[in-house]
Amino acid sequence: MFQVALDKVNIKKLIAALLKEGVVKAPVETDGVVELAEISEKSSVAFDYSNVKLPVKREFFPQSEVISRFGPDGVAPEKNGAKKTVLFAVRPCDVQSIAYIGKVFIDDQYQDPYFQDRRDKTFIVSLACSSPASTCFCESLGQGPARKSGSDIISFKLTNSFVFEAVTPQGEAFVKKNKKLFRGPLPKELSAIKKQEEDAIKKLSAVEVNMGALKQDNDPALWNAVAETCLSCGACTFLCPTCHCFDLFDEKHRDGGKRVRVHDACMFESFAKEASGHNPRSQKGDRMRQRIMHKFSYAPDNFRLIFCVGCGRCIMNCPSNIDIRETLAKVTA
Amino acid sequence: MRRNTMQNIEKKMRDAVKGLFNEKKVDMVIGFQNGSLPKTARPYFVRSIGDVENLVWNDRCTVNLATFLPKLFERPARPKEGYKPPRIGVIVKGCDGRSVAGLIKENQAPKDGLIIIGMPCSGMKSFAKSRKGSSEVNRACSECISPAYQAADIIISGESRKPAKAQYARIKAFEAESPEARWKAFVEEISKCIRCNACRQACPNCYCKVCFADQRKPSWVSPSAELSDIIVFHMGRIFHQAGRCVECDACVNACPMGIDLRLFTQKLALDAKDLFGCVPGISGDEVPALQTFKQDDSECFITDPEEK
Amino acid sequence: MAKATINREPTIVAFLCNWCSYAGADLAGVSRLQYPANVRIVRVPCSGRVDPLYIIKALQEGADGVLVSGCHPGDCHYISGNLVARRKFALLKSFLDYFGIEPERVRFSWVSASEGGRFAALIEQVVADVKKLKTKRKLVKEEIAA
Repeated sequence: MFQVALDKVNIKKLIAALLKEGVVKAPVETDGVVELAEISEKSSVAFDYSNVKLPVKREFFPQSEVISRFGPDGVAPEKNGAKKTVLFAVRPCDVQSIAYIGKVFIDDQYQDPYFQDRRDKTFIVSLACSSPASTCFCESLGQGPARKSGSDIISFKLTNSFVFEAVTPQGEAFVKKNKKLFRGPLPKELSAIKKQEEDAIKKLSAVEVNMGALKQDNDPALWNAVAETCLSCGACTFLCPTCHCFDLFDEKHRDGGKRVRVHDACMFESFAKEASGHNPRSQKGDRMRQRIMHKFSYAPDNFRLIFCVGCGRCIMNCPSNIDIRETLAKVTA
Repeated sequence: MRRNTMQNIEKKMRDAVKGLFNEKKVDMVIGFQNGSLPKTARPYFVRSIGDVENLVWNDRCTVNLATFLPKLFERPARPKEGYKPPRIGVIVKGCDGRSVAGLIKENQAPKDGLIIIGMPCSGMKSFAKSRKGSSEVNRACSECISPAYQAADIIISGESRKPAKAQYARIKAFEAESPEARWKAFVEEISKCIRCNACRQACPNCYCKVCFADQRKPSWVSPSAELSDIIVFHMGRIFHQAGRCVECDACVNACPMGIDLRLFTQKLALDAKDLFGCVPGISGDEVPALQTFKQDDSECFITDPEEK
Repeated sequence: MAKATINREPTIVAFLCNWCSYAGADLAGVSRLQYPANVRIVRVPCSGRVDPLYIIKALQEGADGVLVSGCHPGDCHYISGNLVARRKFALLKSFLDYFGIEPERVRFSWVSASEGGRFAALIEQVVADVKKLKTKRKLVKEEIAA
């Protein structure tokens, strides 16, 4: 446990130090909306927020990315050179999600070069939650407001200071390199961060996730009832930190074109439509079941991970207010 | 609106719906129930008289329920023996009612399969607004010209907002700006788009089995979030509303990025009104603007070259 | 480049209705009337066939300007195709103008089969107007990124 502290007045010095490591992206508030944006020394970082609007997966798996170009000279893979980047003050749930979808993009047999490149070049300093939203339920899924894994350094914001804990060797290296910035943490600071975590957990929405009772067989009546007010809009998927399905689209122009990878959603009506025209998931209930089963049954089978970090973005953004917590209760009854 | 008045209206609505089930006039009624988040309401399908007590009516009933109708009335590819189209009751505000009228006109919902229940509307507040503690209604409501749908089959009595007067003031102000300023504002707003398609799915008028944006081989537009593709998608989708958009802001409310689509949809509605006198869904029997023509339609946009 | 003026020949995509405007263009050719070679003609059965997406897509694919020309109202081979189109184009032109797409880039006209001279003059005018524009094409990917 490599812990150091920093007085709040010196936070700009820390940001300057991070800027030496690469492009720094941190939460910034504009018109009441907090989003991850590139910052400079002058920027005002938002620390008191529940979560950024868009999931951090987009830094590693962007909505659209050119993966190859084709033309009269043949096909050439695109070199999407990522820049060295620091993600600062991102939430533990989002940080977890990177590791989770990382298991899809990188395994023993195949490593997605674009995801891998971005992951290798990114240094993550997360910020533990002190005020989760009413729709956050991370702890019910084994996550937590102060969960460290996946971060290089986890930070805690207290009234007058920050406490940082290096988690990985790279995190330690950064702290050592910049040791002049920091001081040792005071005992009251260490107990304050424990209390902050306990208080945050109390504010979370508690959801009983009884995975064993998740029905494996399809029950169309049940699932159609769950999904009957769904608009198949895809907002939940596009805002979900662990959703990772994508489509490949060939943009053709006169002299060739490019192949683009774009985000896709199993909630879209045509997601599973086959070349013959047959659509095995033409019913909303089937698509809702696919979404829930992928996250809560198939991913645990494949990766021993539940592909939901309890961030609550789907709940906040569903136009029909379909609440995944209620859905889980209905289908694990 | 005072609380007990709202509760009165709720009771009248529930009684009306119970009546429909008792008289076996409907197979289901689409309305609103309380949402899972504080101060929200969400769409709710009532399928039996026992569910009627869950129906609510308040100033959070923002969703345009007409959007569910085309799919519900879609004839199955292989109808089972004895298939009959459903009979559906739908709770509507003024804007929703206009949408329903539009759908009937475009043969997406049969008039004799629908029972439209018109509610009095004082304006709605979106979830984002209520979280900020704002007492203002949505912009669409403050600019609304028809808060209650007059041509409903069952009208629930109650006080509605007064229709707005200067409904297009913001559009006219935007028009007065320079083209470069307008393009800059448009790009800044629309570049927030993540191509999630929530706007399209929430819009009652977007019921195409295959949207132009999803067509492949050949395709009109890439699904990517590159600025050019975002612009083409929105220009195409919104222009497809020409003469049909009722300015209900379902798209605005559904957008997770909070894009001000109203700035663009309203321009189209204003033009349809100014050029062709078209206000969709109000009178109920008008022909849609782009399905007809007049001999003296405007030719101001035509280029008349000067011959040497 | 320092200025955003076009320093190449602009390309105009012209959707011409088969019965009137296309025939008018043909007559201009047969009569050896000179007009700028910047236009790429797409023959459609009727101006009413022109989907607004053709115009938007042409702009995205790199057209500096798009022209749609059909029969004069009252003379449509299909009776009323151009009359419905007239409404559609009025709305589309106003809509695209509103966003800031330069009005010179999207043009509509009526040219009959006997109006070879009118067609030539139309192309002259459209090309000249596009050449005067100092702004870049707004929907072309490479130009937006630059």
